[in-house]
Amino acid sequence: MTLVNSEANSGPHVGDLGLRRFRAGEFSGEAHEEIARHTTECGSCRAKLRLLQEEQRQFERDIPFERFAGGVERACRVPRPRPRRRWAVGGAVGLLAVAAALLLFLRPAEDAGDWPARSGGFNQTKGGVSAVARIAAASGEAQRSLLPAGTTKLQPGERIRLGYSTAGPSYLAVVSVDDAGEISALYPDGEGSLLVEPTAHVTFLPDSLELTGSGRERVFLFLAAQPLDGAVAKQAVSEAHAQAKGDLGALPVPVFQGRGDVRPFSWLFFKP
Amino acid sequence: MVGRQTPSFQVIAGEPPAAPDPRIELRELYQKYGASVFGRCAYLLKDRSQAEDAMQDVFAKALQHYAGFRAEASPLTWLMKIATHHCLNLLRSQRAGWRGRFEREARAQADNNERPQVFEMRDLVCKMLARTDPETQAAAIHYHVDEMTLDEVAALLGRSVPTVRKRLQEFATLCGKEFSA
Repeated sequence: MTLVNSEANSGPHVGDLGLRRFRAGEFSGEAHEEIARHTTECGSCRAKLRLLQEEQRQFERDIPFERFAGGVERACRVPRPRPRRRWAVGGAVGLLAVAAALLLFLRPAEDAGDWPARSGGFNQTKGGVSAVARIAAASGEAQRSLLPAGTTKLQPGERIRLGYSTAGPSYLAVVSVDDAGEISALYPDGEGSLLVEPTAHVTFLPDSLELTGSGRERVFLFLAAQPLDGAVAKQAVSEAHAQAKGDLGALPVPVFQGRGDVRPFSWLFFKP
Repeated sequence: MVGRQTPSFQVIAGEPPAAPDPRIELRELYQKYGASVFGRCAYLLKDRSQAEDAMQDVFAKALQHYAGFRAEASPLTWLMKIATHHCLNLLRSQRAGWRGRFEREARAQADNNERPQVFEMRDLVCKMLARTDPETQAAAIHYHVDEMTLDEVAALLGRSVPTVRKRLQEFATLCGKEFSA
């Protein structure tokens, strides 16, 4: 490892992160010697190192340890809401009830996988209900549709909106599971499920969804005739995930014991 | 009478091993890495209060994955990666909220038309980082701010060097500059 480099600087210097690591005592042996020698000889890096030391002193003056420790311990106990994967926003439930139904001309899925055939089927339409995912670049251009059971590779910055149509009042819940087995209730954000009104055309859930991280993520949309608890939906997805030994491409249809009214739809996304 | 006495032994429970005091570990993290992590959060969030919250979240993650964290070749590199990712997510979340409000207004005005709904507003942000994808953002920060080498950035992000170079070239183009590395 060459610690003194010229790539990011105009001359051979230690990078900012390298100096910070040096200050934190992360180097030993030859690496430590190399930087120690360089900072002795190089006025620029020596000055930067002094600034880093002063930066830490200033930090300790501004945020005393007790305040720091208290905040970290609080964050350990009560994690703040995760900013990722939020459908969004206060009032979304009420908004959804009155959201204008959007009629979209849906194109066939670009690259539907064979997952539904192996796993029992997530058809586009079931018992008068249907669902679709719509994907768009951050700019809003180049939108495309993905039918249930479809698989697609997301480009950086692409966002997803899920839409549904239902002939009768239904309860809706959206849950996702990623490669790490992390299961998230995407919609609604809290417990329970959302009562949606009958709609002849595809109605999209408010706000778009950006899947962060890398790897795969499978998104489930459940529509049920009776209220569907979000925790139950997460549990069903968790069991399906365990049954498939974590292979998101081979996940079976989540099972809801005694609930013949739950219609599942699913999409598999490859995150950029 | 001379008898033989067999000493009786009994097991006496010893003191349980002292659990490591998390405050000691936390103090070490505070002294070694506090300013660096806080600086990264403040740099990205431009708000000291939010930055302090974000920093606490990052160190909470470090404590929650302490064994793995300590096993990292460079704990600071790990912390800076987590801090960068966390703050960029916060920024995206804030932007999403803004977009959400705009979209709600747009929806309220819209008729039921057949035109695919616009997902995001164009020209939403003018800040350079916000105009790039998350991977490019992270690559640009680690390269230009952390002054890591291309190899180091590629290793950190789990991408190939050509991919990272391409991302940085795209970022430089946005900035109206040439990228050479």
